[in-house]
Amino acid sequence: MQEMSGGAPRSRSDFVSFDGGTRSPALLQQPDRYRYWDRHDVQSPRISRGAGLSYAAASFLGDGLSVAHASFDRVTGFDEQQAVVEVEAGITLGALHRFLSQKGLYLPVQPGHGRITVGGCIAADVHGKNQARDGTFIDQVKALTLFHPRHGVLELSREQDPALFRLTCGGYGLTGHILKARLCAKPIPSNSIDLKASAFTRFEEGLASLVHAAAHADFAYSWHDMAAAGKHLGAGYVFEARFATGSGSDPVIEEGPEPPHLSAEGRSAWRLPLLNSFSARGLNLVYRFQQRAALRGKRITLLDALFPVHRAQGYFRLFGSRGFHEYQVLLPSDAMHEYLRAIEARIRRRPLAITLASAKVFAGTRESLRFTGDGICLALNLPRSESSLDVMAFLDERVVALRGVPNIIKDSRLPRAVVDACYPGADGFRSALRAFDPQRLFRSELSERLGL
Amino acid sequence: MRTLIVGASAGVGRALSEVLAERGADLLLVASDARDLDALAAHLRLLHRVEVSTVAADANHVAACIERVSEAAASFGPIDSVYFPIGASRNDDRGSMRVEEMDAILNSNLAVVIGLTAAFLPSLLELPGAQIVGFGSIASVRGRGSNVVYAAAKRGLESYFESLRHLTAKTQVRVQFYQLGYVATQQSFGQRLLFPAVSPRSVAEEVIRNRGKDFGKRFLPRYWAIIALAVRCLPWNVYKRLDF
Repeated sequence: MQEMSGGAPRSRSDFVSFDGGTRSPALLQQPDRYRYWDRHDVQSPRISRGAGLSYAAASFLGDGLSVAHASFDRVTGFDEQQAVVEVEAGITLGALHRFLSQKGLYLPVQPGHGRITVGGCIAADVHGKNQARDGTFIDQVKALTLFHPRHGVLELSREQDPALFRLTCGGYGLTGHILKARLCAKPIPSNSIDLKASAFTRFEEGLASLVHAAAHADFAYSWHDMAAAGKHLGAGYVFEARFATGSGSDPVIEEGPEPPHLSAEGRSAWRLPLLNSFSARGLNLVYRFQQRAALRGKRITLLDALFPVHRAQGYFRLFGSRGFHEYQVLLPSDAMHEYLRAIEARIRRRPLAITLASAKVFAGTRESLRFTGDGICLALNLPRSESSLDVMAFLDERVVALRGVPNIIKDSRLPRAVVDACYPGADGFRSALRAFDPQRLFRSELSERLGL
Repeated sequence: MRTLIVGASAGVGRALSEVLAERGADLLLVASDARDLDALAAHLRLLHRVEVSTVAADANHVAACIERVSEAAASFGPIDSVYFPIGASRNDDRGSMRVEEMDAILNSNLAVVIGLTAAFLPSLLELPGAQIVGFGSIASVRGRGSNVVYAAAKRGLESYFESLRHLTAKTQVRVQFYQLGYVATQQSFGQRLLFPAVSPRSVAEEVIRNRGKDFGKRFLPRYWAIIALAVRCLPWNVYKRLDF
């Protein structure tokens, strides 16, 4: 049942970025019918909202309008021969995986939680578990349908308006509402994944193993203990995962449970933070203890391999309502050593509560505002505090100096000056966006901060 | 099961379509916009491998709507269950709307349900286990200064289903009428509600669980029966002061 006007009611809500760094009141609409996209309202600044899990406040703008795609979450087409699936952009990765796995297929590039939507993945051009081999989300997007009130409904692909297609994939939702996408899936070799962890004692040693693993394994990443003292700093594990072969690897159909509920509001439900430099040590010790089975080698499901955050999302709550920072940077391999030495020196001067450090290998070319290129991607988490902004500014300075790129979608604080210094394509992105949408109707806290 | 759902594209109607498809029912879906129907039908076919046909028809044009649905039903095959989660309301329904606007509310909430039931009743009477399910609103429990025409239409619908149940009492047809409390749809979105809104999915699951039961009318969620009784029992001198 609905209002006869054909419009969707608006509600005033308080929005918060997943990292807790940006809070704003804004309007929310949650249309549930296609006729909503017939309306050509060009008055309110607006932005699409998927799961609302962006760290960087990409789906809301103070006093702007967020348009939730939650009701547009259906599978609308499937070409079995080509392994191409057409979905509405509000579908979650978990729901899509349930559908595809029934057909013996999966998407190789997926971020770590099944509540994230396909629209969000396209807008942020996210990466998966082996970027060096699989690329980023755009590499599995065959075509998409975009709606902009001034331009109407547009069909985009590499053949049809390729410039706008590339501007939209990794365009942070600023070109319009992504309504549908056609995605290329791949056959699931097996529903079982063999996971093996290898220990290392020095950061650089771990990165060398990681590079080798990424070239040979299906999924590869490293974990580093950055809360450990002295010579153990940076020690950790390289995780290599491969689709299982042989006995017990046959079943492909994987129904799987619903992904656990995750929201920015729920993450910040606990008022007090429980993580500091002392408890971060304890947290890392617990994590080490939990990896005993992985060190011996263990078999996990594909679902667990694709969405590891499902079993660990309580971690984010430990930061409390104040939240946390994530600094994810892509550095040329030869610059990583200097970056790590700078962090170590900083830690020696003043202990930092780095609660998570994890690396992946990347390959590709830098373009526009995408988080792509050749090198090593390193993510660091730390609790938000009075002094944490100084640490982040220190990392900014190091990354600019070392010609790295910070991941825009992972940081609600990242200043425009740093993005401009690190992304040569930033001005080109701005120009292309203004050429397409001179009034800049689609805006978010992220776009305002970065002057996009 | 071969089921007709009128008002299928959103809210309780969409949830009913999904729950029934999960249980293997073939569906004939009716709504006003072909785009919504196409997306829903494709999704249900792909996920549940059921037969889904659609009719895009405007419930405000009652005769044309009945004709189109009847034509589609003729090729769809014998229908044994009919659900009417259809409705329409306006924020400016406060007693002084234009005639066309009132007609639209009366037609979409009442006339089209009566007309389609009349069209399908003869065939339903022939089928064992057939049922007709209508959906009213808590808004019609007691008339008030807002949703004036909508509440009247829903009150009329309640009376119609009472008659329908009496009419079919000696047959195999089950007639159920649900008076819905707050449901998380566009109608309740963003409103400050006195009680929590339940999901369309939970309403749909309850409706399907109750399939075949002979209870006449039921509130959903059930606690709305107590609230409705309390509202009806309020003395006029108190009730007239309420602004809701």
